[in-house]
Amino acid sequence: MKRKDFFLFFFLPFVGLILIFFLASYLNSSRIQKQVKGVIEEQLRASAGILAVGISHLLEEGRPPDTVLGPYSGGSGIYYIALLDAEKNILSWSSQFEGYLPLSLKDKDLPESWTIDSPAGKILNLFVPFSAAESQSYFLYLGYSLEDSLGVIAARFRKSLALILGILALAGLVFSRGVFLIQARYLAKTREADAERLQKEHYREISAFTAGIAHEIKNPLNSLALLFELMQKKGAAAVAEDVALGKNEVQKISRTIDQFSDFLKPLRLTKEPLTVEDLIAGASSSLAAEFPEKKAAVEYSPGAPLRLAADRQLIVQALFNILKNAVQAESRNPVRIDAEKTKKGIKIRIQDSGPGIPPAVIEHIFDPFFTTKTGMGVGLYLAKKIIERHEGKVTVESRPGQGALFTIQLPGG
Amino acid sequence: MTLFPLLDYAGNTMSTWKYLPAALFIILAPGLTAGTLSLAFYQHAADNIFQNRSAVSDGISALSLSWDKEFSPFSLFAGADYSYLSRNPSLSFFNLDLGADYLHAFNKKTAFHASLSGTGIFFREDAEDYNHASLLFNSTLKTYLNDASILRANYRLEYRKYGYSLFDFLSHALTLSFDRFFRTKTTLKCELVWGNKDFLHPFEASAAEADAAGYQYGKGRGRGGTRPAPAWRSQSQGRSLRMVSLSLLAAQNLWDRAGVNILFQRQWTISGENPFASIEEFYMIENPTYDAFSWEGWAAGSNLTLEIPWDIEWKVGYNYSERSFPGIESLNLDGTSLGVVRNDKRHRWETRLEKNFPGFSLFISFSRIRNASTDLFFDWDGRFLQAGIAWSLTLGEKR
Amino acid sequence: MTRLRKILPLLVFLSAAHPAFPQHPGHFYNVDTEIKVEGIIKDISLEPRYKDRSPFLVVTLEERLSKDIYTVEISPSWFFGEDVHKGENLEVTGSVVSTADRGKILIARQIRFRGETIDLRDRQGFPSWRGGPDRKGRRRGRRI
Repeated sequence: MKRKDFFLFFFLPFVGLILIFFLASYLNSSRIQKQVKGVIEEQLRASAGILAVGISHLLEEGRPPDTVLGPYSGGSGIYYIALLDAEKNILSWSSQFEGYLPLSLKDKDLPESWTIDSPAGKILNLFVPFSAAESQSYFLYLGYSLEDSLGVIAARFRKSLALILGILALAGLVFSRGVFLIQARYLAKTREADAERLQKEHYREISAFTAGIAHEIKNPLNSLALLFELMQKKGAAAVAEDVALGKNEVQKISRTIDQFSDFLKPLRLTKEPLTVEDLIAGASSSLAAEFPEKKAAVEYSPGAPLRLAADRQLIVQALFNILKNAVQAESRNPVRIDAEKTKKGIKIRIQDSGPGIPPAVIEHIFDPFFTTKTGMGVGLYLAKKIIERHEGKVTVESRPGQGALFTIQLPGG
Repeated sequence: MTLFPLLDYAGNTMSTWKYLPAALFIILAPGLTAGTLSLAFYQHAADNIFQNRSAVSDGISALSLSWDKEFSPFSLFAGADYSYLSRNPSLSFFNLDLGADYLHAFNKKTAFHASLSGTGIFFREDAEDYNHASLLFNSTLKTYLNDASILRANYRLEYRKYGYSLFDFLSHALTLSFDRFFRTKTTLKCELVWGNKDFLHPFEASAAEADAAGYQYGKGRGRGGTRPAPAWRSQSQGRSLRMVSLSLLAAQNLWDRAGVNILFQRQWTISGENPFASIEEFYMIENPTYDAFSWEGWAAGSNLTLEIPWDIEWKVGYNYSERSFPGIESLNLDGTSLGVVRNDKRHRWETRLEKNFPGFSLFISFSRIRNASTDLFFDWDGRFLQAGIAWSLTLGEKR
Repeated sequence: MTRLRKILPLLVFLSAAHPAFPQHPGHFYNVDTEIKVEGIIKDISLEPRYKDRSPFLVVTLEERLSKDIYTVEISPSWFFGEDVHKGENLEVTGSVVSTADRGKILIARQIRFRGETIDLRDRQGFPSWRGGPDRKGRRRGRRI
């Protein structure tokens, strides 16, 4: 079991419960100490005094000492009662708990009252001297339940103890609910992490597979290309056009495979000092070459030169992929680019005024092989990969009808 | 057949809100009288909660409240538990019980105990078919034949009603056990059990109807994996199961702080077959198809108990069992029959630590199960971790 | 007048209270007489020990070295949960009471039995079956 699991699911709830338990006992005890001192002690002392008087009457009547406690042992809140003679020998006793009479007679001088802890709660012990006929001295030892007294004082409500227990249980439930929520959140994060890991593994598998295929295809493709080359040089004029077409198609396939391979290759950066203006110009010219009809599609007004260290080819590729996505978002208005220096580095914003990206699409826009148009759907994935490799970040925001805004954050400036 | 209308009501009611008053009563009842209130909190982590090939993991948190009060020779007891499954919260369930018992010593060597209790288990949302209420009568007579030998006879009667009436049953079990202690500090114990379980509403229909009912049942099963299977076979056989079991135990005191025991059990199904198409068991959640009556075979195991420093009790145990389930065919993962009766070979390792503190007690236990089955769906591995804290409070004697 | 109002219910109550179980004067858990005894079980019995309470498991223990005989009061039979036999070893910590008619009675607080330590009472003698650590969830109903 993971250490974090153990901590969250076992250690934390139990420590919490133990804390609640001790907190409840502590609060209860300090509360009792406040309320007991004075009021309750006085009341119980008075009750004990009355009991002593009653017992002394019974003794004076000649009742044997071992029978006098009978009428008093079931008293309200009295946990135990004992009658001792002058030498502190126990003559008779009774308890509501089998065999329980906590009294140590080792100390010659016992205080008149003291409080003890027990599983039945706090108990107030009273040691009351009294006399019966012929000046015979006795002691009456009583244990009063303070829980009960607290209940009487607090609400005169018999069910208060159960209420306290109910509150404790409720606190425990609320605490447990809190732990469950933390647990659920943790589980959700673990699931996310698992999903991410699975996705990465999946991509890794695809990568390995496609790399293998690319490699296998490339070899016969090269042979085909050479063959076409040869046919072009030595072939008949009648088939020259077809051979040229064939060679073109083979080259297209080869380029596609190269794109795949590039996509799979780990990016190796060759950084050099550059300016943002330089990069945007490079991306714009590549765009113009690919889409000559969209010459005025990009608008950029450079400000102060913004410098950074980056791999020129890769960053231009990334910007090109994003710009290509933007200009293809059918709009008459040009794509606006602006760049500025921020605390974190350089921020480049690419805003188009197309129809915008639907929420369902925007979630997957940087996923590989995801496309709503023709093509492989790896352009934006590659762009993100390149930017992240440069320790940067790329995000997209879009509202339907308000175009899309790509924000690229790169270190530098 | 509806013997107990109240239990019928309980079995048919899906909403747990109706049990809230009962739960409240149980919680508040201690305030009305006195007695002992026990609280316990348990946390379980299981990596295979449905105990099948799909290995669905979950964490279960359980809160338990129980109360008892003695009015010798009788006592009353009541309890309420709530178990929450964090990943499958719709399977969380309540367990309520209420009962009374009687304990009497005929003489210094013989005592008799009998109890009558009602129990209900109600799932929150899913698995309403498995909601059930039961009435249980249990009686035991224990006597010392001489100071070193104990004879025990027990009779148990249970009536259980489920949300899905096909699971309803009435069972009887008679147990006779004898144990003897020898001077070598060895205890030998022998136990014989005879049991009979009658299904009160067995399914009787054509094959087509059985298939339809199967899919109805199928909604509740295979939660950790899907496999369509008929619930009940179309024949009207399988109205009852009868079994006999013999167990032998040898326990040896090693030294003051240690003890070891070895257990062997053999069980036979005398008559009848399981009327279901499949036997399932869930961790901590009772499944009506898997119980003491559903299997025959043998088991052997050993346990070691040690007292380690700081008064911590440590138990380690291993158990191996081979069980076959009469009437249950082994199925392929897609539901086709393999032509053999399902047979499971199970290894179980477990360890437990327990310590008493002045106010409460703590325990933690871990068990690992490897179940190899001829039915591939029930070929599984499981690890289960459990920890708990428990304490009792005295409710002052108020008069 | 208020004082009388307090006394009156008490007196009324006192007259209505029922008599308690008359117990031997010394038969309580006396923290001053705690000893530890180790020996062999010679006899086992189930005896009522306290009024309105279940019968207790009581064993006769012969101390290993001195061969003294103690009557050990363990706990209500349903609480203990283990089957004891004659000849088994038992180590008992408890309070001893010497009586004229019944010899030495030991009220057990803690026993070591078959490698397990079982707490029957707390240090002041409060019985565990009435409160305290809830070991093995004994509370749900009674068993023999």
